[in-house]
Amino acid sequence: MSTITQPKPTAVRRQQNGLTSQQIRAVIGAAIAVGGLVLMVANQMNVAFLLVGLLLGLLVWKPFHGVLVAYSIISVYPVLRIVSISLRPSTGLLSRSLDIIPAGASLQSYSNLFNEEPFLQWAWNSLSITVAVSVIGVAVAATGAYAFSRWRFFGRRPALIFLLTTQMIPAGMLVIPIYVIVAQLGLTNQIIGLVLAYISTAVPFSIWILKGYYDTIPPDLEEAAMVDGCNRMEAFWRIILPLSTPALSIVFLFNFLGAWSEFIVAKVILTAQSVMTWPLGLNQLIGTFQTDWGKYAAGSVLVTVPVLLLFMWQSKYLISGLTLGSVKS
Amino acid sequence: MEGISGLSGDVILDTLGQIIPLVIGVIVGVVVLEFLLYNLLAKTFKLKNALAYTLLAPAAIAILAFMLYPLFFNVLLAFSDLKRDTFNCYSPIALGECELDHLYGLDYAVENFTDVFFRVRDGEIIGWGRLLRTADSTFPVLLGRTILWTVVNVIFHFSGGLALALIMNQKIRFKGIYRALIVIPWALPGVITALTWKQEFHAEYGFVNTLMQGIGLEPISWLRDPVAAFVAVVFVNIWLGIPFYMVMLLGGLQSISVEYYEAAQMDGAGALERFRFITMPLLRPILIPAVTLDVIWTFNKLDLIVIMTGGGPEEKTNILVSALYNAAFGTAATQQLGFAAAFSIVIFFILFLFAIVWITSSGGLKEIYDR
Amino acid sequence: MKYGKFVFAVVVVLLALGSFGFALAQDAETLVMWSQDGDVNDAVLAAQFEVWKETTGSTFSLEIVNKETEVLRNDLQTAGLAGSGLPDMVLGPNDAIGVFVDSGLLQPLDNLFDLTKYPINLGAAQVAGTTYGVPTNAGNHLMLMYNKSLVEKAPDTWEELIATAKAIEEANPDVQGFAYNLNEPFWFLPFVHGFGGGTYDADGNMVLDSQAWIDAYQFVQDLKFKEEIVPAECDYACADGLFKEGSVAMIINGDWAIADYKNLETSPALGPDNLGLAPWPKLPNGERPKPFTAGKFISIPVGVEGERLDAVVSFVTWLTTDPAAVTAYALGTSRLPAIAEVTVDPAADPLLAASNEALLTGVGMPADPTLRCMWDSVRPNLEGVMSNSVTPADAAAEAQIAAEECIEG
Repeated sequence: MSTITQPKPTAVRRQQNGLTSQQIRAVIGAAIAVGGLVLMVANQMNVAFLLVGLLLGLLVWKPFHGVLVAYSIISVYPVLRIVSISLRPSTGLLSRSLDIIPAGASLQSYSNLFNEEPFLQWAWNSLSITVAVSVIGVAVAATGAYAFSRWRFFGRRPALIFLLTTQMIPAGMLVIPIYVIVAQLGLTNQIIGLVLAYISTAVPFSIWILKGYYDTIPPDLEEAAMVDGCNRMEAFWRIILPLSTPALSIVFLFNFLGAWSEFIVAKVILTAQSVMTWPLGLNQLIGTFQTDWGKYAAGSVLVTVPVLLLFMWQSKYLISGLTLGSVKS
Repeated sequence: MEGISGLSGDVILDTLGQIIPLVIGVIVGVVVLEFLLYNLLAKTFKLKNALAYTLLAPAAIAILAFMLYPLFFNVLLAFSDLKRDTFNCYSPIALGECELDHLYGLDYAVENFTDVFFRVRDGEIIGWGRLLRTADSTFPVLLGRTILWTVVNVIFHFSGGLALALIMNQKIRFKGIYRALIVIPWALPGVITALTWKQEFHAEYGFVNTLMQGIGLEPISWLRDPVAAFVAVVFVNIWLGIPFYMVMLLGGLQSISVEYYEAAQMDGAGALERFRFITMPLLRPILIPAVTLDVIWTFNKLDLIVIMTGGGPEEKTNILVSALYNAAFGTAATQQLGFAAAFSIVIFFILFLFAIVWITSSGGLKEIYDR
Repeated sequence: MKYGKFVFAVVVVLLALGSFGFALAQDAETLVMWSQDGDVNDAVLAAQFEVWKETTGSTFSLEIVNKETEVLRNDLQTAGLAGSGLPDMVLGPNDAIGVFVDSGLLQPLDNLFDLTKYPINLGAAQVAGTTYGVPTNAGNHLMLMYNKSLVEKAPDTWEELIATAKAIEEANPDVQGFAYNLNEPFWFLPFVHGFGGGTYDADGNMVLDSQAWIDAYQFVQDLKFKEEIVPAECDYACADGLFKEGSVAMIINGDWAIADYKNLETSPALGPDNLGLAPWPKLPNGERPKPFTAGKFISIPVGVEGERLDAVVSFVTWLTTDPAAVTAYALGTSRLPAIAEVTVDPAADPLLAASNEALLTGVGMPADPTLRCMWDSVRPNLEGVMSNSVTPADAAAEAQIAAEECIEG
């Protein structure tokens, strides 16, 4: 990824007794951190004081890093909490403790989850649905977006606005009608019914993103290829698609995430135990008359961490794939 | 349980037996269909844009079948008198004599839409209608709360995302790590986010109160006090929304050419002026679609509220969409599906009107469709 | 060449369609039950089904799908609207039956079962003289549950309960004395009954703003804000979770949870030795709060016919009337049987005997479809009372307005 940075500000370094302002801040920051350490020792080794001290020290020393570290903690902490709950022993699931690794940590919840619930089956069902939705969704959106990007056909503007309009439909409004269609096709309790429903909801937004991205690719490129003897579709396949990797991966990722964690539609369409996806299965664990936070947390960790890693790994494409389409090159 | 945690060879084969034919079938079917359609359009009808229509066909079919038809169905419901004791008139299998002389009609629609706004007794309007069970669930109250919810969220999303993006756009180390960590809330499955935060706002066992007590504040009964509960859901939604803006705006900042800043600096423009006269205007093409989408998404944010507070306590954290969900499916559901459909159409039109006004006044979509 | 590709495509599409059909055909032999009864009890039912299958040689198998009350209602309604996807049996409390009957979604059972077998609580499943559910058990009532390792003797009055709870909290800072599902009307109605109120007056009109209601709101508000013996925030999951791990000494819960609490694996701090059951403690007026009682009922949705219906009727009849089956199910779920022929020996299961004692203090729950309006109207106002933002008198008046609105539609 090409990173364009601002020019270095004409740095004004105040020379005072041979110390730069950077060095002064470093000294103050270190002092605050040491203060945190002292407070920790004074308060029965309460690690919180040290952490706050370190963070404040970093903020003084390198404010930018301080802010980013602080925000990263806010982002990550709730996830760490789920991990921590999943490690708690079954006699201490509800606890006021803030320890990330709880006292008496054990993997009991994980083994309970695997032995008492068909967790792998849930995960497998979700994975099958998700992969099918992502693959078909990207294929359908990729060609549709290409039409929007390269042709000025009749009905193009209303269609584009309609695609945006689909985002405005209140969630929950379509649950009953979608069930009725799926039932009429005889596809309730089958993962195929859910795949079809998800594809249609994923496609509009995918087209939007892809169209924006295609727009930044000069048409000259395809025209040159067509002069060389390719037909239009070959040009699309050989030139546009490879150039659109960032946007395609983002669309794939969004479709993947959406289908992976969808709950409301799945709940009506899939009721049999054998076809349940993980959101349904985990939700069952914390139903009205049954609450098993340990198993629930263990399951949450197992279904979240893989997609989190996928997302973080692909996050380098997020910026180019999502925003390039909106900015004129 | 068979196999390992319910996963056995049979299960895998059975699922693959459904998925692989589906994927292959759809893709092959699409290719065959496109081939036939293209020949039809191009050779028989000699349309100029035959290829464009052909390429659009699969997406159009998917959207028509699973979005347009449900929308139509929903409108039909709004023209019906479907409720608990007339259910058998509309269901193909329910028992009992149907007592309605017609199933769909304008009179029902008028009644359904009036009920969304007004409380009617004997043909007289006697006040605002209650969409749920309390006086806090009248249309104006819910609309006001939805607007407050949307505005507060979008402002914080934008300012938080912009601040982070500006910092991330500096020459700074570990950028990749920060970016990966900061986008985490975005990637979390919504159900898990909402349930986890619900636990964390628990008065006794959540870390929020534990932290507050740690720094000497009084604990707050977050999810039992209406104001505190609203603050809690707003907080979580802000937390959820900042990464999106950070990513969008960072992309925008990176695309601004350095030359602009260099030129401005030569003219003696300060940092604030450069931000105001270069950064902001050049971010506009990104900002307008981002804000549009964010407003729509926030306005329609259902799962978080339904899972975290259920719209309560005292129905005081409902926004329009969560009130709709509760009216149709929740504890306060009266099974008046005709009414619920009318309500959903009203919500949809509010958002639609907003979008039209906002888009035309900001000119934001010209970028998208006139290129 | 081109032609060959086309043939290939057709073959693939046909294969795909074929596999749809195959998947569809698989479920023909499975009976589906939607249950609101919780996993532990469902497992007992599933085991009973296997026994039935063995004795009758039936080829059907049973799939139990667990659904919460609201979800079950919505899903049944959605499936009814589509005309397909309804289960073969529904197992749940009786208050949903009235709603389903209104929508025409349940079959009348008068000609399918010998109803004279169920003299105890069948009325709870009758609407206008027609029966729509067969009881699997009697009860579904709330009672006081306590952890014997923390509480020596069950308190007999609320005064005692408050004193006990405070003593426990003083002795063990990590243990909560008492907790219950504060904001849920099902846990609140017993107080109303104890103060002499009810949902309907003698003429069948819904009255939610009588003095009894106001007294009851006042009482629960005082428990929280004056006596401060209930946690600031505790729903079902919280009370249940804390009780199972030994972090709360006394809770109020229903008979459906007993089997779970008796199980040392799911409830490490309880088990059969530490779980104590008792009737509700007496109010200051000397009355005990009276929990709603009914039971769980099996209903048969419309559209179940032919061999499937025969199998369902045969299984349900056996489950609910065969003495050996009824006893096994009652002991397995720790709930009371709903037929007169079978009584549970207190010596065989002291918990069941205690549950029975609590059951006798209850009042029957009507199957009237308007009962939902009471639940829905009371809930937000109870929340207001429990956050001290609404006075008991205002809550009662507001609930009355909401209920009238709800009934008028």
